[in-house]
Amino acid sequence: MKRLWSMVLAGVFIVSAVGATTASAEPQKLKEIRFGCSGGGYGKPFSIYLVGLVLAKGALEKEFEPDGIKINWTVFKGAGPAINEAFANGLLDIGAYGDFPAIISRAGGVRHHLISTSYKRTSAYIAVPKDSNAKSIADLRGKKIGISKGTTSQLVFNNLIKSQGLQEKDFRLINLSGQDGDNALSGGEIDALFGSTNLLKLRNQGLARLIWSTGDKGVPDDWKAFGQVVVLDRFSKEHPEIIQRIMNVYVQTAYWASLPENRQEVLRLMAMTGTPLAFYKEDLEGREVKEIIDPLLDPFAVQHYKNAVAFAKERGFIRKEFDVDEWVDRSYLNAALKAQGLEDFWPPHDVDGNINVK
Amino acid sequence: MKKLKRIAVALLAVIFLANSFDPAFADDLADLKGELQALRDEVKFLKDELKTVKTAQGKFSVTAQEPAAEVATQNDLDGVRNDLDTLRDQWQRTLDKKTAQTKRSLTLGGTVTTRATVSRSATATTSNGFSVPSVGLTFKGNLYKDNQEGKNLDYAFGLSSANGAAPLLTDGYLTYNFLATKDISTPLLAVAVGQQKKPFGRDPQTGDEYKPTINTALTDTNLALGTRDVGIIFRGDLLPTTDYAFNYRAPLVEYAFGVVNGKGVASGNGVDDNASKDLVGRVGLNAPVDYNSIFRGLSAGVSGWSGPKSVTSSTSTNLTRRLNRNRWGYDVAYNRMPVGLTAEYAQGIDPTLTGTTPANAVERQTRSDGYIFTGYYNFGQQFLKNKDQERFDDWYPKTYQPFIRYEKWDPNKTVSHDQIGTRTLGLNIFFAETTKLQLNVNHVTNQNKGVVAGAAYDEYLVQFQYGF
Repeated sequence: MKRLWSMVLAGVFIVSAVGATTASAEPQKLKEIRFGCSGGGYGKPFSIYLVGLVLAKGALEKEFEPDGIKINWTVFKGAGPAINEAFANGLLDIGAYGDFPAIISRAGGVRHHLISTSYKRTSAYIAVPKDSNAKSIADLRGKKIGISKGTTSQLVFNNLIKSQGLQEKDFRLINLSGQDGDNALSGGEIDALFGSTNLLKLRNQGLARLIWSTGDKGVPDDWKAFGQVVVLDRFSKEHPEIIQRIMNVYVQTAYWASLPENRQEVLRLMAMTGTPLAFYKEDLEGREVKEIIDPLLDPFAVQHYKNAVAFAKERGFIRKEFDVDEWVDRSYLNAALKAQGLEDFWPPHDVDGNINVK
Repeated sequence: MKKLKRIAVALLAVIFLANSFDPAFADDLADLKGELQALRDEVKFLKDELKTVKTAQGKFSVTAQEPAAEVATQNDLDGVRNDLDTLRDQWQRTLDKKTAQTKRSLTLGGTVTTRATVSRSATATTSNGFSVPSVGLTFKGNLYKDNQEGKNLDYAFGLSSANGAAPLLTDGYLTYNFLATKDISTPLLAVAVGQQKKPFGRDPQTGDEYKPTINTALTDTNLALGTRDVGIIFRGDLLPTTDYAFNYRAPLVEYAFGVVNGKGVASGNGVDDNASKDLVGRVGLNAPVDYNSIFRGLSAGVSGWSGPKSVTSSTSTNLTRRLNRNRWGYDVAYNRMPVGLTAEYAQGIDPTLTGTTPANAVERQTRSDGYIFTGYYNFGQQFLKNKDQERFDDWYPKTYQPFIRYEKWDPNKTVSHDQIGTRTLGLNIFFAETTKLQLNVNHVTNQNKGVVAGAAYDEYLVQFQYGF
């Protein structure tokens, strides 16, 4: 019996020792910042929009190099769900990803706060096989539509069908993402695919035809996808000054990206994900980068998240709603805007998306 | 604009002065007014034009940095076509000469273990030293792919060799998914036909890559719980709780049941030695909670396996009877990263036969049982479901997994002082995606001191286990 207890004690000692080397030391001096974001799906360690630019430019590395703080980037293939899993298991300090998964994780009890948007008003498309007769979403009633469930796509899709007086049950929604969706559409196994810029590739290959996009006339901005930066409460409480410096870099990069003369470079850096530059160019046609890389947590952005929370509750993705106003923490962003004299650079929008509301 | 105005005013002044001495000055005044109006209109037109040009320039400035488009000539296009043709031919030649091809999709994999053992057991000296305890090779793939719903037809084929012995067929089965597998919110049901692992217990079904310990539990080994058999097995689940935000799925009920030969696969590739079949199955329950719940990963299950086996009398090879062999067990687990706790119990009833003729034959049963408790803690991302990352290099998150295990095996419950207990303290270090270094210290206690000299002893094992 003595032997057993000695082994158990030894086990506890090993656990404690390894734990001490991996999890502690933060109170003394921060050694690394663990930053997670979604990848482009092509196996390359780059991301898109604001977080992608910060990553590609090495902006945070430059900021924290003098302090000897390492930026430990994790670019997840599994996007939102993967980032949520890493957050829930204490393996990330800060993350930038899509609105829907962040909302679900917050509702599920992961204690983080939204400190800035990372992108606003990004595009979504509906593709049908090239020989399909469908011309609108109404023509797809009762048909099989591939969509990545639980992602921002589902929220955008619901906004669209709701505007047509339709519901999800009016379609046969099939949970498909990435290459599976492409294969199913090009193989004629589904009648339509709902997705993002990847559908432009299918169209260019002559395998599909686009029948709808968020870029079409009359599509409200609120339907479009948002992404944001969230930081774990534990980390922001322990290192508020670090979060402030991260946000300073974010705002600085957002300003740089918003200048028209940097548009081409922004597209080039985003294309490092592996998505062809031409797709981003088409995606942003007629729009300024400033419209998308707009970090403001203005009434329009907050209302978008409130709508998304309500939708998630209605569809059963979350069991209970939470207070978005409490989730949003503008303190770091506002301080960064003020310090850089950019308080008026991005015009705030009201809850309906109209400009010039303070 | 100012310049234009000045020119207009000067022009009017010249006209005015030139005509001021003319007697018909008054008559011309009306013409001058008309010309002035015309000039005003022209200025307004020019202003509008300028405004339009400025607006256009403003719009254009958004994309002003984009390079000017260059027009490709026919020669350029021909050149690109030739390059593409050349590239296609080179690629095809490489494919034909250097690439292994299969008729259907194939994933080739396997695991190899290399081990060093130091045992203080007086009877186990032969196992000391270096060894390659197991080498496994698997071929898995898809025979029919359903892109729409994932009702796929898959195959698996595997060979394994233990300690250098001749390879044996391990896996050899087809799997068909009756229900859609693409959506995590719907139930699953699949059938597997062929040689495969029996659905019994938790530890016996766990693959080597996930087992924390180096040695297989005595209970698993002696009751043959983790062995393969030939037959047909249905596996499925019901009432899944899903959390798309974590790609998480926990079915309330998991089930697996089937019919197998019961012969095992140690020899003759499982060809049955009697007409009767064994029934085997497991039912498990998972806590129906969200990903963030403290109860995520809490599960329990019961297993059973029963069937006749051909038993030859221990006193005469001429006497053989078909007698029932039974197994049952239960398991409880709490696996919520980074913590894992599992407890498992299994009991076996094995028939024995003595005698030389049917008249003096004596049938007996040996009842045995064992339990296993394992606890571990993970430091790292090895067991995250979504750990795949986009990187240029072959970087992989290092994971450290210290664990303890306690096992008790009683080979015959009617005999006292024959139990074997093993306490293991270990550390697994995952330093590459499919490779781990395992360190185990076993303290073995054998109550049957009359059989095994040195009834309590320590054992030190170091093992590399790598997959490919």
